[in-house]
Amino acid sequence: RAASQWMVKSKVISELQEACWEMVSAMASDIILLLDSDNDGIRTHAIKFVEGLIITLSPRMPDSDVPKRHENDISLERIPKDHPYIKYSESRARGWGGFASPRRPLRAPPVPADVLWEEGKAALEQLLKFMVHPAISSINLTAALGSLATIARQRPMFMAEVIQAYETLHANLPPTLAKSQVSSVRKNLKLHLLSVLRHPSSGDFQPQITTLLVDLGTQQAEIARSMPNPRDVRKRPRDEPDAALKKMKIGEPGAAWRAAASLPSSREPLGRGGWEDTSLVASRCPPGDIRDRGWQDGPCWALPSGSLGSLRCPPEDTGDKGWQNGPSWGVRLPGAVWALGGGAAGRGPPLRRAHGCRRAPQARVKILASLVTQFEVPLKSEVLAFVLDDIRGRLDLAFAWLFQEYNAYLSRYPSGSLDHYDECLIGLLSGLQEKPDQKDGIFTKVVLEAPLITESALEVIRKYCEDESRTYLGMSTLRDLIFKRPSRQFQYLHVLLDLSSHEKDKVRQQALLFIKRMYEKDQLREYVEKFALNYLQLLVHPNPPSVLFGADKDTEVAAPWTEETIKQCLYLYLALLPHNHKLIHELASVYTEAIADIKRTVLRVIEQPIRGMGMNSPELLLLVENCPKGAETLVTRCLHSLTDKVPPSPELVKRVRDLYHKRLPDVRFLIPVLNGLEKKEVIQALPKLIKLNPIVVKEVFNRLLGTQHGEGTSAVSPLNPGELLIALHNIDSSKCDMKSIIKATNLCFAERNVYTSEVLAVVMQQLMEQSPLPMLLMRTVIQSLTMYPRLGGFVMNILSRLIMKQV
Amino acid sequence: MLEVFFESKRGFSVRSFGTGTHVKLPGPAPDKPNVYDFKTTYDQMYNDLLRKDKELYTQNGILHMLDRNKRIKPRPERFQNCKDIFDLILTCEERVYDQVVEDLNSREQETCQPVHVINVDIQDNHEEATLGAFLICELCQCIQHTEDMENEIDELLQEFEEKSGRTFLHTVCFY
Repeated sequence: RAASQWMVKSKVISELQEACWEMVSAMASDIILLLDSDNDGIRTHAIKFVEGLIITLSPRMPDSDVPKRHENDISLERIPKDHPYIKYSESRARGWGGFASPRRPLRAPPVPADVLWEEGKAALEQLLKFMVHPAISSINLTAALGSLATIARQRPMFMAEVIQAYETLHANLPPTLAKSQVSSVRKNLKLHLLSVLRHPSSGDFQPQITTLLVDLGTQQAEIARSMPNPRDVRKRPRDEPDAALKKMKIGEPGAAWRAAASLPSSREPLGRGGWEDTSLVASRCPPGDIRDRGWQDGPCWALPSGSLGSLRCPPEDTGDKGWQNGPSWGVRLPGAVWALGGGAAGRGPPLRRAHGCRRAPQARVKILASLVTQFEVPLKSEVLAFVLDDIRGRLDLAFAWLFQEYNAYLSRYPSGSLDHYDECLIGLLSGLQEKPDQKDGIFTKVVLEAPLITESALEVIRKYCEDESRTYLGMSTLRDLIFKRPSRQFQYLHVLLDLSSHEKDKVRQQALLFIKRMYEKDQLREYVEKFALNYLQLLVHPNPPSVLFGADKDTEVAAPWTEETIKQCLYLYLALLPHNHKLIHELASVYTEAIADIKRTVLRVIEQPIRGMGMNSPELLLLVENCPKGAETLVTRCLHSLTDKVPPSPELVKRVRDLYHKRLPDVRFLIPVLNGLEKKEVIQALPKLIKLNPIVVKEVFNRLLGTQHGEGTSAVSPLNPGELLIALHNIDSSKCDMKSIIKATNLCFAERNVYTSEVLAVVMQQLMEQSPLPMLLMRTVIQSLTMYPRLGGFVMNILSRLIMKQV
Repeated sequence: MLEVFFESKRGFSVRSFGTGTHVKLPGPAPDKPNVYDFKTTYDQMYNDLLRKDKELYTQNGILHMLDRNKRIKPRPERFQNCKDIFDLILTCEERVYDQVVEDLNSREQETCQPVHVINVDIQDNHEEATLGAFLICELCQCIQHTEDMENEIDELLQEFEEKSGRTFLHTVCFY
């Protein structure tokens, strides 16, 4: 560089200069040879040298990117064509091997300057050849990548070769590189590609560069940021004239281009949002680009596919005046898409093309979304259909549209309406609902990512839950909503709670499962409980209130309670009861006020939950203790449920006993806890017990005799069978009529496996010793004999003894 | 951390920098860091944190770190603002590596003198920093012992990768 500079400055070349030039040239060729050196470091330096050489030995162009420091440096265009020594004359092509050196003696023929140009180009060749060496080191490669980028920026005429080299490299990284070296090199490549992209003259190669960048994992936003400013765009001149374009009649001819050329800086938002990150570069597209023949006649207005994808439009179709008058970009583009929709047979193809493949560039999606938002229903329903057609692949578009609608609403807040947003959301959700089974949770995704859930959207979600095949999915979505959107969680919770009394079993059960989990969360607990209790409270009404019937049901308010409707009020409550025993008291108070039908149903359904609560539940014990007036049957039923299979706990017995003695001397209370009572208590209660309904008496005896389940004495009874029979005999006739006693004894006799001959013998023995003799003794004797003839001897014995006693 | 280590023990000529737009120190929660600009001195930071929550910042070691730092230099330095020439730049996080490389590449080339940039991923806690410091120290020693760094550094790094089981990123930039 220095040498060339020196040479140029002097008009007359001295011998010294010649010599210097010679030496420098020789040095240069030596250094280039060093590209082959064994030493990695030397190779790296050689690369940098070659870079400098190439830049010096090539002319600057108007679009060259020249670093400020080097403004005054020499480069080929500054070597005057008529320099005495260095000449731009006809090339005497020299083979590679060095610079041409003049022959001695003095005033040898001058060096043709465009040989220098050739040398420059050849140096580049050498560099490129070096780069594809299969065993190039990672540092050399990195250095070379950087050099290429510098060369491309400073000498854009080499842009094509540089990009080609990058592409080749990207596709064929040397196998000798280690994994981490590959990462380092790739990072480097990305960096340099971005810097090249920034250069205005990279326009022609933007597609390749962008492809490479995307391959290297670059984000679209980053790529967009590195696009050159449209004002600086100077495309390399094309060969074919755009004849088709010249026929353009978009209002003022050429206005679109002019407008585009004077685009505001890419960072200003245009129209309603969404344009911030995209820089728009308008360029002409040669007729060869038009893929769809149908459009060919119209002027084509294409945006380079690298940035935005192509939207084509025949303006003839458009009636939108905006074409003619609007100066702004924002107005033109909608016109384009309108026409896109306009008369064309189906918007599907253009939409698809506009949306592109599955991974459509963000920019395209953004634009589509913004456009759709600005338009009326027909386009929207098309887009909706389009999106639903392949929801998985077009989900990004769906979301972009949804967010855009929301943005639109927000930007008009507070005067705007949510209607469009609402329609969009419902459209999406309903559409998803109608599709057959989806396993990938897209419905959930849409719900959870939508900025706002409107009333109608919530309705759709509810319907989704009511669909038996999707109940779980729908409800788990609801659950997520409840937890993730606390501001409206009660609204969502309400829907779930409503579903807990749904007529479809599956829906109801699923809802209850979910609600149980909610119940465990502190902040939701109260609400759920209140809801449950509210429903429970409905049971105090003599007729079911209208709230029980959905708005779509046409039932008269005065209809009576049915099993169904009663249960509806109870489902949720019963589900919660095991988790919070305190709730039992609420039931008791409702029970007392409810009509008989309801009471019956309650008694039926309460059994399981009570058993679930268990005898040791303090609340249950409290209930028994307090036994609210009017709830006696309830308490009794509770007691029965609890003691049906297991003996009563002392705690329970105690309370019942207290209850019986202090407040409610209804002997029926004692029945469930009979086996927990003491002997004398039972005997005391016997007269009353046997006066009860025969079925009940049977049950009593079953309990006492342990014959409840036909197994014999498995339970502990305060009385053994003998004692029982004896007690029966001893009942005072004033307390109980004979008939009942006889019936009772018959019950005993019926249990042959309990009342064996031994037992009866003992009984008779004991009775006989009593004085006065019990009334029923003879009868019993006769009965026993009838049952066990073998007792004959024994009986004889007894009878004789009796005779002696003078009965 | 590295600065202290090197300067006190091994005799390398070392300087350390940050690359962000601000200095960030851990705060009471991950999303509430303490942010200062590069002009703030370590001493000022120390006093600020002392005032805010002495116990927290003592317990997590930040006060100790600041105290140590102030003995080396008065305030943190930003790499992008430094015009000095280095032979080797080491970074401890890929993000920082990217920032350094980007900055170096955006400068205009003057002398074409090369500088190597190497990244070793180290998690930002005391334990990892210690382990990482040892590793880097070893690396630097090996580099120092090479006769011809430019030629041998590539191979050296490969060896180190294998030995330590970590991956390094490596590139060269030119001043």
